[in-house]
Formats: sequence, C-alpha cells, structure tokens
Amino acid sequence: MTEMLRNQGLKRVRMRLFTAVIVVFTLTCSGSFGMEDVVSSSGPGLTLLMIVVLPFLWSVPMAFVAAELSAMIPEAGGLYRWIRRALGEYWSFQAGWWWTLSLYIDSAVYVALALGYIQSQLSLSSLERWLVGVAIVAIFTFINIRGLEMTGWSLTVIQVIVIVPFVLFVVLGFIKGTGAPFSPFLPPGQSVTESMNLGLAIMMWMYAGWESLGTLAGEIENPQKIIPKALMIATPIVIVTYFLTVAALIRAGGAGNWSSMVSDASSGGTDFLVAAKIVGGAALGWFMFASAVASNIGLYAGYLATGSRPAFQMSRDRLFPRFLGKSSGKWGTPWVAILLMGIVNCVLISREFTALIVMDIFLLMFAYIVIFVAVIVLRVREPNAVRPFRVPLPTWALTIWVAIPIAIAVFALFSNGDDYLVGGLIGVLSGPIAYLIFKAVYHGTTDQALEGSTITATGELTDFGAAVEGVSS
Amino acid sequence: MKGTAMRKYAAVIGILAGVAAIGMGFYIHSAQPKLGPSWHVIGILVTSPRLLLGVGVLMIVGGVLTLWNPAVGGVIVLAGAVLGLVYCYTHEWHRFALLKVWAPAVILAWIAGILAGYALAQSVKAYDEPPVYDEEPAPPSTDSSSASA
Repeated sequence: MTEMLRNQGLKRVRMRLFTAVIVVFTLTCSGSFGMEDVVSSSGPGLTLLMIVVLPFLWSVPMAFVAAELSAMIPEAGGLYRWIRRALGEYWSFQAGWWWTLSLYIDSAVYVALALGYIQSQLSLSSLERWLVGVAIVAIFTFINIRGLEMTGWSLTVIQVIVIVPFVLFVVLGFIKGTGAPFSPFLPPGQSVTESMNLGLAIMMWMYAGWESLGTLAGEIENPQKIIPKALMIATPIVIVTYFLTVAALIRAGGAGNWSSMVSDASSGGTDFLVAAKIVGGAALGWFMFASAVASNIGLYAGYLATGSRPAFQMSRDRLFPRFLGKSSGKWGTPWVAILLMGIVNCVLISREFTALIVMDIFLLMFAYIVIFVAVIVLRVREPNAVRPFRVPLPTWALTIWVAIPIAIAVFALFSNGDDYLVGGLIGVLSGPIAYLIFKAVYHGTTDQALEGSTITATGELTDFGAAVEGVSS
Repeated sequence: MKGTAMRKYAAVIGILAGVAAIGMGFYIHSAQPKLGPSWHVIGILVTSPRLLLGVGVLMIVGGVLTLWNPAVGGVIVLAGAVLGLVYCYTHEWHRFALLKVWAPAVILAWIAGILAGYALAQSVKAYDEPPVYDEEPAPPSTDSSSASA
C-alpha cells in the first residue's frame, strides 16, 4: 500500500538501503576532490589526523542527530520540520531559509567546478561552457523531477564512475608512490593553529551534508528506518575514503611534493588528476578526470534533490510563494521547487558569483547550530516521544557532544576572513527580512493544521495518512 | 492586543540600533573621518560618518514604524543594517575596521528584526487548515494593526 502512498502530493518510493547509502555518500563525500588544498595548507600529517579526528567532533554528531530527528519526525522538508517542532515557526523558517539559500549557491558551485574540470581538458568558449552547464542542469533537473528512483539510480552510476578510479589510484599510489603520508606533520615554521585555520574550514565543508537526506523523508518508504541506517553505514565509509585517498595522494605526489598540492592544478601544482598521471599514466589520468567531473555532477544532482524540498514544505506551510508547493501529479515530486532551483543555477553559472559564495559557510553554520539546539530542546520537551533511532547518550551527554560542533562552527565563522564574516552576515540578515515579508504576505499555517507525515515514527498510518489513503486509521 | 509587548521591545531595540549608528557616526567623524573610501551615489558623496548618520535615522524611523506594523518597521531597520554591511563589504582594505564601527547597530538591528518577527507571528492570524490547491480560501482576518509588507 505504501508504494503509492501520497504525502502532500509526494509519492513515496522504495529506496533500498544501498541506494540510500549511495545518496548519503554523494552528499557528504563524492570523492576527495578539494582535499589537496588542505594538504598544502595544513601539512600531510595534520591533514590525515584531522580526517580521522574531525568527524567525531563535527560530522558524526550531525550524522547521529540527523538520524535521531529523521526517525522521530519523518516528514518532507527534513530539518525545517524538525526545527519547527522544537523551536516553532520563526526559527524553522530561518534555518530553512539559510539552508535553502546556501544550497542554491552551493549547487551552482558544483556545476561550475565540473565545468572547470571540463574546461581544463577541452578549450570551450564562454558560450559553449555555459551551454554545457545548462545541459548538465537540465538533465539532472529532469531526472529529479522524474522522482527519487531515477535520481537514486543516476547517483549510483555516478558514484561508480567516481569510485573506481580512486580505488585504482589508492592501490597504485601506495605501490608506486614515494611520498611520506605523515611527514612533515605541519608545514615548516607554522604553528598548529595557523596550520589548522584554512584546512579546518575546507574539511568542515568536505564533512558537511549529513542532514540532507532527511529532507527527502516524505518521499521514501520507511524513512524512520532507512535514513538512520544509511547515515550510520555511510559515516565510516566516508572517513575511510577520505583517509585512504588523501594518503595515496601524498604518496603519489612524491617526496616533498605535498606543499605544491592545489585543488586546481591547471596553472601548476599537483591535484588528484596530476597525481593519477604520475602513478597510473595517461589512462588513469583520464579516469580521474572523469571521476572529478562525475563527482561534482553527483554533488549537484544530490543537492538539487535535497535543496529543493524545504522550499516546497515551507510553501505548503504558507511561508513561501504558493507555486513552490505544487507537486507533480504524475511523478509525485515537488517539480516547481526543483525547476526553480535549476533555473537559478543556470543564471548563477552564467556569471561571476564569488560574492555569493562567501555567504555560504555562514548560512550553513547558522542552520547547523539551530539543528543542534533543536535536538536538545526536543529531548527535554518530549522525552517520551517515539524515537526509532536514538543517539545512545543521555541528554546531558548529548548536550556536551553537540556543544563541540557548535563551538567549531562559531570558530569557523570568525576564522575564514573578514569577507566571509561580512558577506555571511548579509546572508544571515536576509532571513529575518524574508520572514517578515513572507509571513505578512502568506500568513503561515498553525502548528495544529500543518500537513504532517502520512506515517508515524513507528511506521503506522497517521490520521492524515489514512485520509489521503482513503482507509480508516 | 496580541504581540503588543513584543512590538514595543522590537521598536525600542530598533530605535537603539539607530541611536548606536548615529553615535558611531559622530564618533568616527571626530576620530577617523576618513575611515573607508566614500561612495558616490547620484552625485552625493557618501562617507562613512554620513552613511552611519543616514542609516541611523532610517533605523529610528523603522523602529517607530514597528509599533504600527512589525513587518514594515522590521524590514526598514534590517535594511539599514544590510546597507551598512554592504558598505563594509565593498571596502576591502577597511572591512574589519568598518565592521567594528557598524557592529553595535547591526547586532541591535538583528535583535530588533527577530523581535519584530515574533510580534508579527503573534499578530497575524495563521491559516488553521492545510492548503487547498484548487481554490485557496481567503486569508484569516488579522488584527487591524497588522498589515502585509
């Protein structure tokens, strides 16, 4: 029966655990491109140490918190609805707005990065470059509108293209490479704090995205079981992937070559593409090129899927323009919200949008802080609520655990430079402005009248679910 | 009336944001009159002190308007803060020094915006039914003093 269960016009699809793990892997890793900058700025040893330690202070708490909240509140829109239940309409709108705005920019960045890799191998005019970008956006917008089944399949194929070259690279890198993965531990003459600053910001970025799958809870069968399991399985896979690939990169780069590592080696230096050529010849270089393009396209496809859902849900809750709340009768997806995101991406990649990127980290960090606060508030306010997955810590210990990523987020806000600080504040202040305008225009919906999930946290039909199914609850 | 107290708080904080901006405007006029290059807007020379004074007045107006309409007043106060931040952002070599000057007004404006949001939420009557996509019902009636932006 749940095969065709409709939740606010959304169709629930059967997502295998394997596919869900692939989706989480795509959203949180999708290869290790970008880690090159961490190696050169933080030093090989500290980079590898951070890859192992940082997750337990930053991403594992978010993975566990997202698992608990997704299982407890398996509703479309994910974080937006979690925060609404914990902190009310105002803060849920703020977090939903910040997160959505951040992903609108982010997703365009991934297309731009894919185009950058393509441009490095094929000389394209600016028009050709834009047309290729529009083609990427159009294809994955259509796939997303077709539904999560097709999106899941496409991400699986993409991750095969991403991972296979990395497996070959890790094997050849360790066999043929001459670099010492842990030496030196820090760049000569730099303190630990100096070395960590830039590296930390990039690595926080690389280890973000654990909350994203929760936004799709309204379209997955048994989300309260699938999402936590996928998060728990994907977490160690992501850590091991980063560790092995970066260690292989340092070895493949050669002795003393770590300081020349950059994520874009088109004008010199060593990135994964160059390192792959060193240990595997031109063939592995081309495989790695395909992996780099596929990695960014995968990230784009994944964030197009998740980034569009909170906007849809906020529209359904009458806090966003109504047209964003429309869903496809045929495919059961929020097609207008997906299409709008695709259109915005097309516009962004046609121009220089560096000024918008500086807002990104602030927007995401603020949304994360509100999510961490929400899980604690719900633990205190609803201690006996059904939680199919529960972080195995008492509330006081969970509070201490989530205080660490909050502290890291606050540190990151002030350590990225004044352009990020000022640009980020502009982005953050857009939240209260947007709320005042949209609330005044659209009025919102009372908590009691919200369209809830069609299923409870234990997987049974809610009254709402029974009504849309036409059966007695 | 619902949300009246919250409106008052929002208005007071919004006015304080304006006062802080004006105060900092006078301060840098005497201490660092040349802090940050100027903007030229339709032939008018906009220096840091002048912008702070102008935005301060705007925020005070916004704060007062919050008493009448939290949406309009809140947006005006926050728009002043955003304008100040854009000014800081566009002056790369003085960005942090300018941010320190603008910080009190920006922080107070943000707090005023949050309070205005709460005041608006209390005064606007939300729908008590899920959306109907064929024919959306008319919005529920709200307090006479709450209005749309």
